[in-house]
Amino acid sequence: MEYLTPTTTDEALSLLNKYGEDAVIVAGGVFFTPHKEELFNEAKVLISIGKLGLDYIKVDEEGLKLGATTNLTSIMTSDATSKGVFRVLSEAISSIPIKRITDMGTVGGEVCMSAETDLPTALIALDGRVVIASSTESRILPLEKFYLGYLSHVLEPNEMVTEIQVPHFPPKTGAAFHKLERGTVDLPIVNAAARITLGPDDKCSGVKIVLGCVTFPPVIADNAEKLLMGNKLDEKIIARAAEAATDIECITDIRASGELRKRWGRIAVEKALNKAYEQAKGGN
Amino acid sequence: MAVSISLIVNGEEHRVEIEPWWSLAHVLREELQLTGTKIMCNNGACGSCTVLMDGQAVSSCVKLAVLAEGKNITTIEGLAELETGELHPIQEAFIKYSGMQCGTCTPGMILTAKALLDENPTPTEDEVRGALAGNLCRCGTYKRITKCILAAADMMKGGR
Amino acid sequence: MAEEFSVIGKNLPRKDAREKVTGEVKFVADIQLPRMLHVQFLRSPYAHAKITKIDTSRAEMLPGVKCVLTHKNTPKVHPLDKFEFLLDETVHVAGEEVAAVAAETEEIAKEALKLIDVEYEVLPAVFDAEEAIKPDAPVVHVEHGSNLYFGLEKRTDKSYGPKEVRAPRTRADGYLPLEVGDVDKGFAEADAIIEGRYESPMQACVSPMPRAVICQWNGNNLNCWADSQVPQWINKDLARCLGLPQSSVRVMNTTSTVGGYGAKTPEKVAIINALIAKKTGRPVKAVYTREEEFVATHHRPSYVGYEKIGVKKDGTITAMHHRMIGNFGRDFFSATEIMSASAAATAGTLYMYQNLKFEGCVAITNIPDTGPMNGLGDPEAGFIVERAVDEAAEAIGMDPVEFRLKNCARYGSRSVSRRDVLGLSHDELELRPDWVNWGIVGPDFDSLPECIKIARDKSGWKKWKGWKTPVEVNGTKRKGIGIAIGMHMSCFRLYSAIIKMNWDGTANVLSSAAEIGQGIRTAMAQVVAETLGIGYEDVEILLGDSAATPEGWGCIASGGTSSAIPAAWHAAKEIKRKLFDIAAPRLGVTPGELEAKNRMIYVKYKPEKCISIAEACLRGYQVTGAAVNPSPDSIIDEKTGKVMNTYACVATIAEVEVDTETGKLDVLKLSSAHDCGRAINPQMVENQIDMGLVQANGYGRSEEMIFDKDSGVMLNPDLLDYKLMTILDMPKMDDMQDSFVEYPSAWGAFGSKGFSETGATSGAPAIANAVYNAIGVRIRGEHITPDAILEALGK
Repeated sequence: MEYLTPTTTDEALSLLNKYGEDAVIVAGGVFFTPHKEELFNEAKVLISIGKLGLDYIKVDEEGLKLGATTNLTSIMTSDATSKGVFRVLSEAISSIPIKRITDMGTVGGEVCMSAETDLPTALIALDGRVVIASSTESRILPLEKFYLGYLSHVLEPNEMVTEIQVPHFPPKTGAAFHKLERGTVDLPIVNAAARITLGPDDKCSGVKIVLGCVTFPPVIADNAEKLLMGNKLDEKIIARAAEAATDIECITDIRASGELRKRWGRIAVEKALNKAYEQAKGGN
Repeated sequence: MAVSISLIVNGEEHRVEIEPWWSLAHVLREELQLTGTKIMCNNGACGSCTVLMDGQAVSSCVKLAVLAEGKNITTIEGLAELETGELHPIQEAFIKYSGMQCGTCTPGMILTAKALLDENPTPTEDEVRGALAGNLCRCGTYKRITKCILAAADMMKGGR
Repeated sequence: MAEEFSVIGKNLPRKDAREKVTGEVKFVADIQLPRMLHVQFLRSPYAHAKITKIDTSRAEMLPGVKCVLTHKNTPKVHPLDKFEFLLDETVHVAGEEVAAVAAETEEIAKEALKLIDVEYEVLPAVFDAEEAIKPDAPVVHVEHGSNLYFGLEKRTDKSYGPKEVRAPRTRADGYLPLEVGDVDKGFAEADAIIEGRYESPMQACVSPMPRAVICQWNGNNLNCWADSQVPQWINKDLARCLGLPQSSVRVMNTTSTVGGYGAKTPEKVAIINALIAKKTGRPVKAVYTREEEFVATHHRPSYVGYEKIGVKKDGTITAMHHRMIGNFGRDFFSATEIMSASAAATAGTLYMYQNLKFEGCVAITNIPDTGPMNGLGDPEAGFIVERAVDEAAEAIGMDPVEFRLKNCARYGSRSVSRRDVLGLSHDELELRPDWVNWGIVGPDFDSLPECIKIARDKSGWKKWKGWKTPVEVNGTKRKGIGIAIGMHMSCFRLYSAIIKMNWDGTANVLSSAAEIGQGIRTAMAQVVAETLGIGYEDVEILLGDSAATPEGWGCIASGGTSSAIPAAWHAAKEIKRKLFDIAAPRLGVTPGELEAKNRMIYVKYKPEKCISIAEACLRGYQVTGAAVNPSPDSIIDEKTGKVMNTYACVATIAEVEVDTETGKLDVLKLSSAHDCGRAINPQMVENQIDMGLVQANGYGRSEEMIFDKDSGVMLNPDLLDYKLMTILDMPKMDDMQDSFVEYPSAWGAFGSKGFSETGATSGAPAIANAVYNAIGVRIRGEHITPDAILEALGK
């Protein structure tokens, strides 16, 4: 296996063009461990993208922009995610209790894992977008369209993620994240993120509810969203929305049964919605 | 071997010929014979293999060695004073207050504690627990390990 | 009383502390020898299968591969006296060794595994114990003929092969029975009877460092570095399997065998490595992966327990009937012994009762092997019995702490010995010369009621509001408090030690104990230093070297402080006598007028008349002491003249909070009181208490070995999904209330006893009983998981 360290994005992309499926990209290298064998076995070339300068956190008129190799700890502790709607990203990252992992993990890595992760659930709730580059073109995709299933996404062999974008939201928007896991330190068994915007009449004018890890990819609970849209919100209607959100088939695996995921999913959605609503009311 | 890299470990530079998929733990133990770093799960799940890279705690069993090039790596062997052999206060506290039993998690615990105390010299018990969340101790020594780290913090306040 | 001693009772720094904090400590996995070969194993994907074809030619041709072993080219021997051969034509568990490859590097060996072609004929398998003992179940070991096992602990110096030596009292249906009085009469007299089926889970050993073995020949001598708690056993096993004299096989532990918790042996790997080392002329090393630590070692067996307890209104236990079926897996390090240990302690001695019936059986199945893990038999039985006893207390509306205080064993109460259960006669003692008919519980056991009271007071048991009433309700969260008691044999058995003095008055102790983290090097050094009157820093312990350290069965069953240390203590006393014999004429007195302290031997009433211990050692040229422990038969109660047992006990009270919405459980506080005889080193005592409690928490709450119910393959052989307790899962420092009492034992050095395995016996049932107090529904299954809690609540 060869090891290559391109110093510009163009260089990296032309290497991907050359090697395609034979290449594995690494940034932080938290190749969440059960997948170590799968990731390395077929690879002929290891490409480190740590030196491409894709480590940045920017806020401009379009919104928040995160370079793909920005590590999770710096996103969690940045000014940009310390207040407002973007704070939900910090909340999602701080649910990972191990600093070693958030120091090493990158937002691009979390997004590309398409497995048990926390940040993508929150990103999707904020209408996050992925910037995908190849040597010939660049495309932007809503994050929910990036995923195909467990450990699988739409990236072509010659493409890589260079940036994650999150738009601004109107005032009276709140967003929150909630996670449930076995014990105290674990992969997420379920997580949920919710974003609520209130209109001038205090009724719900915008909502997004995302459920992660109950199935792959993360689920957008549009039936639950419909229940809330245009209505005045309270605990009861939120509880009904949470019920509707988990009216889906949840996976059973060695970590948890489908029934437990369903139940915990409902609890996570409810908690996230209630908190998001409080924040939206408070003018954030 | 595919790659030749330079690793700075405990202040010394080493040139090693390795494969790109080798973990830092493997290289430290097998190529540099620094066996103080212990491998318990080889999976990133237990923290026993923790080393410091530029002062930050890192799971060396999942960190690719190639990604450690150019960084200052500190293993447990590098914690004591080079010239005098004087132990770091955390090491002294672990000896004095019996912070270990079988010893497998010990290097990882000590280095994680160092990263914590370098950033937060006066942690509360909750902060110590939070910092050790990813360090498993099968011998169950959590309580005394916490005591040792808080004692070390006290010792270090004296300006050592 | 600690003020009387120079070093006993002091928090001296551990002997192995410095090397462990600096990284200097070398475990076997850390040893590198020149030209060393690395071994990897090919393992069966099937739980029960015959190997119909195995072709290793492609693997042998891979550059760097030096040796490949299969059933075709290995001797037909039974390592550890197990049913199957070293490498067998038929495999009996998913993960059993099929081939071994030795190569220049671990990676080459791993690649070579992929080049071995194997064909299997899959055979029917059984994984559940109650299914396995049914007459129509597929038989796991055909030559044995049954899935019931009633043999005695296997010896490693002799092989009995499939025809094990039978425990004489085994019934025709495979149960070991024990009866006291007449339980039918007892139940007839009861005011209330409870009955139930309980499960205690299998618990993986999870030895922190995956075990390692290195073998190297030197002429006709075999050197073996083995991560093992029982170096003498491995010596005998190697000698027998390889046809060598025991004297030419040297098995070494190094200074620290890492975290064994009861069953750490190098399995058959030592023999495989020795064969490969002979064939290749090079040192050979094998290091288990974490996955192999799960599927190819020994673990705690799971039990199913059928309990029936009869009680009178005043709390008297009129009858107890325990029927326990253990799932001991494919093979075991000890099985009947574990079951008889459960009978001897928790099921038969822990409580005072009028009538008792115990029936225990050992079932063989196609899941991984089992062995004596931390508490052997008592955590398994305790998780069953203590939940049942709680129900019995509730049936008569009695406070569960009061119920334990009334009925718990204490000085003079009947003690069931394992010999009673197994039915060994005096002649049969030739096989097990150190098992005797223990008659009563000794005076040190008055510690049990005191432990209960301490736990009661420290935990604030007053907050218990009565049966079916949680301590506190906060929205969906409920708090509960519960108690469990426990005991475990603190094994005083045959053991030996040798001490040699040096000319500077320092001492080297040779002992076949193993430092698994419990601190034996430290405690033993403290005892020897105290006895000889020299400094703690003057004593060094050489552990586990079969060529140098005298006979002793390593460190199992709390035998460190209970067996190994007394042997060293007796050897030190012999040295003291010899030193006094040397010093007395020089000081012009008789030896009886001498005392030793601070490295000096002096006349008691005229201390300025003295001679240094160093000088006496020099004058004696080589002063040596050796001792073999007296038989346990010799521990006689002065008052009654009866033989006393050797046990340690515990009482644990847990306070928990259950979220009835999510089913999640938080253990808020653990108040635990242990009897340790005499605390040689209090900080180490606290650490051993915590070890038991942390493992007990995992045992009851989260540690689940998940097997595919069709294939028997273990689905979670890693630490991501086999959930150990993290620091956040355990209560904070002040809420881990560890106490100990010191009721000196009759056999231990300065009254000490091995007590470390008690924490594991009571932690899980205390939590289960606290959960019941919180939610009002009993969970009798294997784990208190969110699923189990939600199911109990009907959600």
